[in-house]
Amino acid sequence: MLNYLSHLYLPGAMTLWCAFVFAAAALVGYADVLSGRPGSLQFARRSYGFYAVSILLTAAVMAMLLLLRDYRIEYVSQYSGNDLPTHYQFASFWAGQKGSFLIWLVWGTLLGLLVQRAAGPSKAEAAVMGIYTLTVLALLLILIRENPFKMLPQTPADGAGLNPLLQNNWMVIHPPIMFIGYAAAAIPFAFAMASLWRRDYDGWAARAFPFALGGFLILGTAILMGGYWAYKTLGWGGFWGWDPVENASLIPWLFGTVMIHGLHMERTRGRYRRANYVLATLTYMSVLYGTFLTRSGVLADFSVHSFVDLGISGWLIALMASFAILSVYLLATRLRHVPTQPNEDPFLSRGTFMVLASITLLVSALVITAGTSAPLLTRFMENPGQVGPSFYNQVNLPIALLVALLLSVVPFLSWKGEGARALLRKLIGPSLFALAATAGAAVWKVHQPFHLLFICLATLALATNAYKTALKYRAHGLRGAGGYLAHVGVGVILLGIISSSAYDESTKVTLEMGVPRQVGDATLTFIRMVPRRGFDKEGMEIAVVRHGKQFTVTPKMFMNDRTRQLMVNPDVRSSLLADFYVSPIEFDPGQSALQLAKGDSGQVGNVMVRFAGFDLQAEGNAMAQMAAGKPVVIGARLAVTRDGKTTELKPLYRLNPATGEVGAVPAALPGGGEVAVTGIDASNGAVRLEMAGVKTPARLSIDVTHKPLILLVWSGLWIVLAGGLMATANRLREARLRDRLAAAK
Amino acid sequence: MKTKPLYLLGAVLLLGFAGFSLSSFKQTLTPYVPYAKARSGERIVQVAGGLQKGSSSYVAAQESLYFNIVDPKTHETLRVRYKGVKPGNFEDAISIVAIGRYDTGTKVFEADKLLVKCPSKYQGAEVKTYS
Repeated sequence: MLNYLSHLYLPGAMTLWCAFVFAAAALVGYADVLSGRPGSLQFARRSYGFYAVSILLTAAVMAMLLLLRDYRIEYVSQYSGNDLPTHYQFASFWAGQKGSFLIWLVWGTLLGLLVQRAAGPSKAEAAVMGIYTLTVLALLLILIRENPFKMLPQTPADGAGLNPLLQNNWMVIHPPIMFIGYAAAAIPFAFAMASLWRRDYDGWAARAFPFALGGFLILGTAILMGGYWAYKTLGWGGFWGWDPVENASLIPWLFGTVMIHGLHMERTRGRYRRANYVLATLTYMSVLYGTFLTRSGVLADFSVHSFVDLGISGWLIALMASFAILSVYLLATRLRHVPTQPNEDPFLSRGTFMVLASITLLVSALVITAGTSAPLLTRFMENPGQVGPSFYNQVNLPIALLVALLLSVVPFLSWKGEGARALLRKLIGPSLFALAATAGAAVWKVHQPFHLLFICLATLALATNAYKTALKYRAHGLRGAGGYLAHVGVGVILLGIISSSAYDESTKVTLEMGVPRQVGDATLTFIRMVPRRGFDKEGMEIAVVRHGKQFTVTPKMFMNDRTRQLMVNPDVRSSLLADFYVSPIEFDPGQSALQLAKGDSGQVGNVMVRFAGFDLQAEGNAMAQMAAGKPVVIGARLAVTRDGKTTELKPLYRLNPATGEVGAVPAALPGGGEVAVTGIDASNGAVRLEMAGVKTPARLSIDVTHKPLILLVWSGLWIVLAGGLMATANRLREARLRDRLAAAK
Repeated sequence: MKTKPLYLLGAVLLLGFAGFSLSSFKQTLTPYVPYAKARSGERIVQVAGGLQKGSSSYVAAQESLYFNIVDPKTHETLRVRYKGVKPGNFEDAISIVAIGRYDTGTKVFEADKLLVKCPSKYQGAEVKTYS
């Protein structure tokens, strides 16, 4: 025990243990309230407060250790380093497994304080907070087990430093935002489970709704940032690669999207009452499952940025299993008692279409889950495997078509239902617009029928929802237009995805320094290497002339000093219609040396050299000189061809075996410059030659990609998020009104 | 409105889609296989192995990276060609996963995608290459 303690940094470890004690006390308090002693609520709240303070202290200790570069701590020595700038030291906080669980826990704990205030009357609060505390306690247990405050037996002088790939401003903000979204997924789950537990089936949906919307917004923002990061700086060539780690954030977001629609239906129409319990559970469980897939090491051979196994797989499975058992038990025993209304919506009504859209999105989330789980699903087959991006693209294409179709129609449907003829009449205007856009796309270069249909439906969805947004805005201002605006964004994203990923044009070219080269409709010239300045790494300046406009791009390619990793950063020239994307592939600094075996030829600049063999009689007999231990002179017989003329040359190489001294007598090259022997490899009969005045020019291989309308992907997502934000603001306003009404009663 | 036929239609659509996804899943599944099996060149597979030191070269004319991977167990080697950016930490790789198809004509494994595993002092720290 003492031995174990001596390997921990006690101030940090103690705050973690205190947090555990206070969380347990809070749980006891909540349980006490639920068993009929409302007086314990004060105790439970206070315990939760102390718990929150302990977690914040834990995080503060960790941040301090990182800032002080206290390499006694294993975590600090793994992720920080002497040369790491301060803002990246914050990134070190969540660069590793333990730290990312800690930041997740910090957000979860803080959100708990908000949940406490919004959970409702004392019994409801105790139940919601009890379950919510269980979810944070689970994370806390993982951290206590994988203690981030473990100390090293010996203190290293320097840390390993932050992975150069992660030394990026996006790394400073992207992960923490992602973890707010993860933490928020537990809130609707806690509300749902508490409602089932207490058999109080009313009202939870309205209370959980703002949290569900907020979580959707934040996770969506994080996904947007991740895509932008991958595209702009990591040089992955696209914004989405269907990597398990990316999918682990997309799947909860899709479930969450269905959940917010379900909660909306329950709040306004009293529908989806049973489904919402399942949706809240699925959203939370998908966060846990994604964490398991990416953190347990089960995908180590399949994903590039999956974490290696740190020995917590068992814990993660136990954690998933406990919450699965809890929720399945509650759903199985209580769900059938939840009162519902019979479905009397006609087919052409908003209600029916929302159900259809929800099912479609659920199906999408499920197939993405199945695809991501492929290595697990095929584990027991002869050759386990994984599915590539083409699987996700194939199955999601029909889904996207259907979603676009449903979204196009929904704005013109009422809850009561619509006559088919009236509906079609309303759709005429937007359809003409969509057909015009499709015709435009066909003229441009889209000829694949599915893609044309895709563009048509996406434009239709955009048009009908934009029309409805405008109507709502004129009637009620910003309030109430959020949902439709978000759907406009979906249409915009779909257009951006199809144009930028199915109609991009990529060319790989090698540029010789100073020589212009035509690539598509652009002329590229590799101007110079830009030397490293401060944190700015060395780059390659390329002048581009395109459509009469002149600009330079400076993609970067550099060696990380510490790890000798070659890093590549693309450069993107964005314009409204397309991105011009340049990523370096290979840089050859140019050379003036050759290594040739007998009979071999090589070229430097415009000089071609053939090595015919050694001349051992250049100045006396070399073998005899060698045997006598005297200075040796060896000649290299070269056939040099330049401008079509071949000349025989014989540069000499001197070697003094007694002193080890070497020297060269160069030979002049016809047309200027000279060639010298700088080394001899006797065992292979090879010679090393160095030219002066002649050089192969530096060459840069690049990938030039033209990505049409990729701006639509980013702006569409911003529109979705703006719509979501408007809806959230509206819901919060409603919640305040509701509380005021309740207080007035 | 009668809802029975609609439910039926929905069920048929869902089943159809399930079938479509399953076949797509099977089609795009790239199994991990030993080199001998990869050499049949029948389908897209993935192979893993260590980088043979000194075997990599970039051929600018073809804009391709050539290298050999070695099976850690059988010590078999496989020649791989990758048309694209040389992954950053390539030379330090302890293990390389190549996804692609073996060309029985040129006797080279044509990789569409590479996953490069590094001596992982960094967790989750590898370079990603899309194709």
